[in-house]
Amino acid sequence: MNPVIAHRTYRLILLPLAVLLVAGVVSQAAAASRSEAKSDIDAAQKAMESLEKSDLIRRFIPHKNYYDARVYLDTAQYQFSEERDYANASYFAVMALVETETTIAIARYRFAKNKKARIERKIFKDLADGAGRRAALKMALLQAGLAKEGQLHQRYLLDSQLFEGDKLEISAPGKKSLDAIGAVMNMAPRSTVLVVGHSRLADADNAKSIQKADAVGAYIKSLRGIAARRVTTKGAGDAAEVTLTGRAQKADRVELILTGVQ
Amino acid sequence: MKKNRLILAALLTMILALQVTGRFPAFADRHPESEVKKFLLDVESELDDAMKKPGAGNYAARELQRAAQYLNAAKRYLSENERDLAFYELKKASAHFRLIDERRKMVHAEIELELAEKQKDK
Repeated sequence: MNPVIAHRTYRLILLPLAVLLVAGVVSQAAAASRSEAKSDIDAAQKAMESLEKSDLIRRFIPHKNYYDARVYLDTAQYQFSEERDYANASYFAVMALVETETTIAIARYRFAKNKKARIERKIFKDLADGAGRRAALKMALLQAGLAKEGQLHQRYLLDSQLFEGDKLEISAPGKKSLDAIGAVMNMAPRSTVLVVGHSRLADADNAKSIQKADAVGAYIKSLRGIAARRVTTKGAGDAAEVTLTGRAQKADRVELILTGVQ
Repeated sequence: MKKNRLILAALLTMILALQVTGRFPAFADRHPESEVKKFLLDVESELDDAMKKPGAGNYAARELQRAAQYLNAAKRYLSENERDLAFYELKKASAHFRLIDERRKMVHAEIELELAEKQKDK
């Protein structure tokens, strides 16, 4: 073949190949960011649908948060389909998801608080009809959040409800909860309490669980009218699960089990 | 033949120009380095505090993980001098802190409700 023709043919094949390669790299990067944005928008859309479909919490939805979430989601969809700016679409989709989840959390919080208040009103109304020590004890049990399980009365408190900081100092709300349990023990002088520390993650020799139980036990013993012998503590590590937000899971918590409350 | 070469050369130049302008935008980043770095330190410290809170793994494990992912992405962008991209990753991370706090309150309220329901049944 004529070397000039061969050279031209070679260039004609090589140049389009180079162009295709570069174009391929560019379009692949665009496709990756497009699919990422699409998956972010899908996640936000799914969360929004679950919020809007939930009849249970509908009337407790904070309107400002809901409106913000909607605006974020609409902006994400506009950026995706009209502007084709996938980085922006992804940003607004993530903000929509977070705002929707915040809206759901606030609505569920309001729902739980409202329902608990209604239950308490009903129980207090029933108790008001009775009188004397028995009714007073029932009220104290209600305020302490102690539920009857067979012959025992028990409840658990998450670490986040009990402690502040990472040095196992009992927080103000934690003290309030333990004071309420102390009040029940004072009304039932023969009662004793077993304090059991639990952990979410593996706990070597149950050391952290024991420390937590001891911190809570020490606070209860310090309450007026409660003798040290009425309080025992132990650590259980991550052995037992508890139902939390609708599913069984291991949790950082302290369980309080009262016996002898008559 | 010459015409073909000219077209190919023009195409190649356009693609290269697109590549280059894609990497180095015509406008400067809107967020100065000092601002992004300060924001990064704030988010890092807030995330550290949130993770250290007792029981955080129970009420916001997924949210903490996501915030950490956005923080790491911001660090990566900042190391590539993509300050605006880093800034928006930090905004995503910081949006999670309010959610984490609301989830903590929600979980506590639901535990109290569950106990009240048990008492009602007895």
